[in-house]
Amino acid sequence: MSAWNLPRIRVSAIAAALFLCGASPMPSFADEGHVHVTAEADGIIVLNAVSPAAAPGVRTAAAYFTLENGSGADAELVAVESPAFAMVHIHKTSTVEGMMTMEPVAQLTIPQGESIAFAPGSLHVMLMGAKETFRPGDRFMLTLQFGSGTALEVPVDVVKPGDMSGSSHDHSSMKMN
Amino acid sequence: MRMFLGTLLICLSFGASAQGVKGVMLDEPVKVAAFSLKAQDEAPFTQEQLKGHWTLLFLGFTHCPDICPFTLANLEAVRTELSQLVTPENLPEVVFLAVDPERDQDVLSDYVKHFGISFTGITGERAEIDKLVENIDGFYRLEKSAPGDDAYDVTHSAAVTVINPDGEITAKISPPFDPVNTATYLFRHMRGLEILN
Repeated sequence: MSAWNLPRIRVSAIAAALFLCGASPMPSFADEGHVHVTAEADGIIVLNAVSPAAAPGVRTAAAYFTLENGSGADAELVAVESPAFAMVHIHKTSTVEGMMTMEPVAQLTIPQGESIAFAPGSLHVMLMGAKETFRPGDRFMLTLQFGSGTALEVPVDVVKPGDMSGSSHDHSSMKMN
Repeated sequence: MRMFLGTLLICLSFGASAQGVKGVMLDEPVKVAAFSLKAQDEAPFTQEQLKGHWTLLFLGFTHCPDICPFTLANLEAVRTELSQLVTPENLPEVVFLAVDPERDQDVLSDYVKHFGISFTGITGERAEIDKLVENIDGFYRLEKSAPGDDAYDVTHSAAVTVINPDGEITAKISPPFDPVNTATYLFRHMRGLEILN
């Protein structure tokens, strides 16, 4: 690279950096214009419940949603189940010393008035042993069991992989760290 | 003039990577040693297929419901950002090394088609997988609880290995893969510019 080329490359790098500084830091996932169902029971609300369609032959899937606790007391999510899958657990993905690992979460406390996001790369509902092949546009039921006895039935929409946004301006479920 | 531009570059690089890309640039490139795997279309995939273009290589398994699809989506977003900076033929290719051939082999072709993203999935004999994993200083472990367990998790290293067109490892980047910051980092890396994080 000859010396007089260098400033030009630097200028274009600066221009690129300037351009990128102005760009949005959020990935944009296509929104199909679906209005995902809100489910509610005893003041506990679940929004934007989606499950990216698993690849053919893969019977494991994940479900993501936002859970808001408006019940007036702390809520304890103690179990999850679905008629569409043999086994359902709450899992948390984490990176520990450069390793990706998932661990089951036996019980999750959502303090009164707070909300929790189940999102890619962190908390998610892990669904194993799918009883049928789910395609984008399908829907299956997920029941969230709380320590109080509340059982919240959530319709989960199967979406295209990468299509995560329940509503285009809600980024709370896209935790990018 | 060069001092001014250099200073500007330093200032802007702090601005552009405010969230910091966690990356390690190797002091000396490490040549990827010979390995023999197959791509999703059964075509041979060896160290030769890593030449001629930049590659972003990461480990995973097809039955991973959360982080692997998420990483694929993030790397695709990185490529989209990069496509504003480099011509299509200079875009890095994404290679997904599926380390669980027992479950991955049969579904890999469908898996690759499933996402509507351009990437290559590779897998094969365990010994060959291990050669490549060791070469990139990666790690994986199948967490089978019992012989009949089909829903097991696979713990694996999270880093994305950056390989240059000569088939040499030049950097490793760790999640989160913020698309804009990662694209900036890679753009500079691929052009041989200094990265100041």
